[in-house]
Formats: sequence, structure tokens, C-alpha cells
Amino acid sequence: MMQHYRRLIKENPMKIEISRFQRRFFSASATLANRAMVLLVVTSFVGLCLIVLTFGEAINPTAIIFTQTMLFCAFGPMMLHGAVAGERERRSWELLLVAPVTKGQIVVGKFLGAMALLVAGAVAMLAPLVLSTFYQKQVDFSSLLIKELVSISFCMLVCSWTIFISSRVNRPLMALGVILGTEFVLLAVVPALVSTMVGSDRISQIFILYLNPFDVLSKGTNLFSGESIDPFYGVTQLCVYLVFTVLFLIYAEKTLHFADNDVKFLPKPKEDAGS
Amino acid sequence: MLEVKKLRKEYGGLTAVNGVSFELQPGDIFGFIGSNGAGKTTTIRMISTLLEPTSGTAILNGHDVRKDPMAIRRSIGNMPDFFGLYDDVKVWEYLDFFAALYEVPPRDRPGVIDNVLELTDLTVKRDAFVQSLSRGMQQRLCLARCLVHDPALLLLDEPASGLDPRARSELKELIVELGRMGKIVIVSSHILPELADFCNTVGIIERGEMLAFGGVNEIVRSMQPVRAFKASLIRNGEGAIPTLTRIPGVLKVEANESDLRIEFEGSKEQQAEIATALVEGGFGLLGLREEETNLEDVFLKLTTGAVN
Repeated sequence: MMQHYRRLIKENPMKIEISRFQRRFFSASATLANRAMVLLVVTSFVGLCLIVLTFGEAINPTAIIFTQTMLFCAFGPMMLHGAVAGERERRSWELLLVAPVTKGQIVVGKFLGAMALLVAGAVAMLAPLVLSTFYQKQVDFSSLLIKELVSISFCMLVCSWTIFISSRVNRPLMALGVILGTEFVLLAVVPALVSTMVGSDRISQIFILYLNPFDVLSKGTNLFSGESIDPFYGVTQLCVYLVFTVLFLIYAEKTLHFADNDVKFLPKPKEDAGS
Repeated sequence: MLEVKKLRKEYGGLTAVNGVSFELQPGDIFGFIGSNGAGKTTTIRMISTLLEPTSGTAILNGHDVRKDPMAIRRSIGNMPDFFGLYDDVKVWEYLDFFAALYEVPPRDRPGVIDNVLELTDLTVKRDAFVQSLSRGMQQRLCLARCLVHDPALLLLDEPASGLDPRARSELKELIVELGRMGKIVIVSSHILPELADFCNTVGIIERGEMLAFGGVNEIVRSMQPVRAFKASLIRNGEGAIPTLTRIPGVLKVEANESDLRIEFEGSKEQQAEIATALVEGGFGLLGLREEETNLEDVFLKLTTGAVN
């Protein structure tokens, strides 16, 4: 275990991805698109703080976490969709493969790079979150903590899913389309269909509950339903998200073992050779 | 030292590389020649640990590609036939990224980057964006990237493709300099006359098999066991054949109208007698020159262009 920790995290040279991400978004050499993205995030952040300050008590802290989760769901894939597919497209992937790093280190390095930015984002979002709690008469901090962790762990899941998809395709835009499409289907279409078709019975609720972090965030507060439930509600989902995060990262690494070049050089079957 | 031992790669029923063996010493610049699909790139990929050999192995300074690929990766600089550059970074940032990947300590990186930029003559472009560089400069940046960790072996796949004559000449000088620095350089290229200029060893591969390996002159001589001269005459050459065949050392004379081809294996004095005989015989000698076999001729003689 310690050996894996040392190899994948402590001594992983691909941690350079963290500074590469910083450089890509926050340095003078950042591209126009990346600068626009940063400007959008900063504007949203400032706007959110102003909304909290203006509307005070009317802003539920959970709504801040809700917003944060939505932002993470969008920005995670946007940052990572080219993690492997982009390297393949610009043909720099081979240069990484001949460097003294394992495929596991590459995958974890890319993931850590995105995590560093997202943790910074989560820390920044603490400002409006803490502000909003000042206006509330009664705040359940343990519930808020769990919701924050659910939000972050779901974002980790989205990032690992993004890396997994990115490692299976050759075009970054294709990866982005698949990831955003999957998010839309799982977070909006499926819950809507299940609610419509099955109604509000227990099975459909469980199904939605395990898939949808927004459902978890809306429970335990009066944001949508107003029902009061177990303060530890959400811990199970958090664990599920973390397990799937690890699984997707492992599968991403295994996917990379399909040597691209082996596949590329496989001879065509004889019957196709003439075509 | 690089030892390639009976390297073999199969894809299903296709044998891409079949028992390739050779040995290179520090300072050797090895020209790897072959048609498209001959097995050059597959061999280079196996040496660079990108592909696992079906059998055989390559050993670089005691590290086996099969047993210790990480040590091999630390010792090689691989420049494929494409750039693979990150466009949105500056030249020094690009090199810094690869220096970090190759475990160059952070405090040493600025010095290393400055050194490789100087070697590749890119110092003035240190703060330029990669996308703003010309093709020749990008090629040199790729080479600089290969050098940040001071590798023992450089694998250059078609390094001169798409470069203008000046850039080619500069690249050639750089490769020679790397050889002088004691690095083993493997260059795969189709531009044979250029390879002959700076490579001290060449290997010709076809259908996955090494047809010839050795020094350029050695290979050329092996393909040309006897020397041949071409003589241009004013008159028909047929009449000169009996005169020439009497000269000791002349093995065979062929005439094609006013041109003669003389195969010869003798001393310098005997060689001089050929010219004397043609002049004194009144055949109207216009010119006499030795037929030169170059690397391209050898390549064309040895290979058929067939692929697996």
C-alpha cells in the first residue's frame, strides 16, 4: 500500500501536471479560451458572494454547495477531456510513454492536476458558504460538511470518469461529448424518467438517490422537500462515489495497456486486404 | 553500449521484425535504412520500450528492455517522426516539463534547459511560444527535449524530413556533435546520401531482416568486389576490347557504342596502362573515371522493395 502511495503520489513525476494546470489557466501564457473560463469562474464566484450578501437569510447554504456541484460537473470534464485523448491527438502521448513513468502514474498525475484546481475551487467556494451560514438562525454543520464532501467526491467521480473516457477515445471533443452526455442522462434524464414512470415509491427513490448527488444535497433541508432525515445521510453515496472514482482510474490505466501501436499495426484480415 | 540480440516482433501471423541483431558503441552514429514497412520503426519502438519484443532483446549499458524498461527509458532520448509538441506553452516550459518527467532535480533544471537550448541554437527562443517556431526550430526543440536528461542513446526517426537544406545541414552538424559527445545515435532516414555523410555505421533492413550491417565504406566495398572504370571514346569501343583485355588486372570489358566498362583488379601502375593503351591505340579517349558505388546503389542492389 505504502509502495503504491509512494509510486503513484509522493514520487510521481507526473505531479508536474499540477503546475501545468496552473500554468495553463493562471499564467500569462494561458490561451484565450482558458482565460475566458477563469474569468467566467471568477465572475460567478464574485456574483455568488454578492447574492449571498444581498439576499442574506434567503440563501440556503446547501444552495451554495448545489451550485458548486453544478460548476464542478461542468468544469471537471472541460479541464480533463483531453487528458489522454488530447495527448493522442497532438501525438505527444508516445513521448509520455517513453518517459520513465508508468501508465498508472500518468493517469494519477492527470487526476491530481485536476484535483488541485478543484480543491482550490472548493476552498474558494467556502467564502460564500460561510457567509451564508451567518444569516441562518440554525445551521447543521455536520450535515453541511457531509454535503460538501458529497459534492467533492462526486466531482472526483466525474473527473475519473472523464479520464476513463478520454483514455478510450482519440479525440478530446468526442470525449467531452460523451462525458457531458452521460452526465445529462444520469443526472437529468434518468431521474426524470424514473420519477414519471415509477412515481415516488421507495425503489425509484433509492435508484435516484444512488445516482444523483443533487438529490442527496436537496435532502435534509427545506431546499426542495423540507423533510428532515438522518444527519449522516449522504455518507453511503460519498463512499460509493469514491469507490467508483478509484475503479474508473484503475480501468483507465488498464485501458492504456491496449497498446495503441499494436492495434494500429494489426494486419487486416485477408478478405479485406484488397478492399 | 547497445546490443540488439535477435529482436523479433510478430503481429498475429505477420512478422514485422525477424531476428535483427547489431551492436553499437558510444560515439557510433548508426544509419538505419529501409523502405517503408521494412521494420525500422518497429525495431526502434522495441528498443525504446514502446513495443514488447515477441522474442530477442536489446541491452543498453547492461539494462535489458524486457527486464528493466524504466532504466532504458531513463537512458534514451526518442525523437519520433512527428513533433508531439504542446502548442500553448513556451519553449522553456516545454523543456522544463520533460526535465521533470525525466527526474532532473528542480534546482538543476534551469541550467540543463539553458545548456540544451544553447546546443540546439534555440537560446533566443527561450521565451517564445512553441507554436510560433518554424518547422526547423520545432525539430531542434524536439532534439533539445531528447537531451534534457543526458541520454546515452538517441533514437531519431526521420529527423530531417520536411526540413530545408540549411536546417538539414545544421541538424547534421548537431548529430555529429552528439556523436562526438559519446552518445550512441540511431538515425532512421530515407535520405541516403546524407546518412552516408555523417553515419559511421549503417544497417539495411528489408522485410524485417537485416540485410547488411557495418561501416559505410565496408558495406560499399562488400557490394563492389572489383573496381570498375568507365571510358568514353570518340570511336566505337568494340575495337578497344582486345587491346584492353591484354592488360594485366583487367577482368572484363564491355562496350556500348563509344562507351566502355572495364572491370579491373590490379595495381595503380596497371590502372595507368589502361589510359595509355586507349590513347596509344588511337581510340580517341575523351574521359576515364572510376565507377563509384554509393549507399543508394548498395541499398537498391540489396533490397527489392518488398514488404511483409
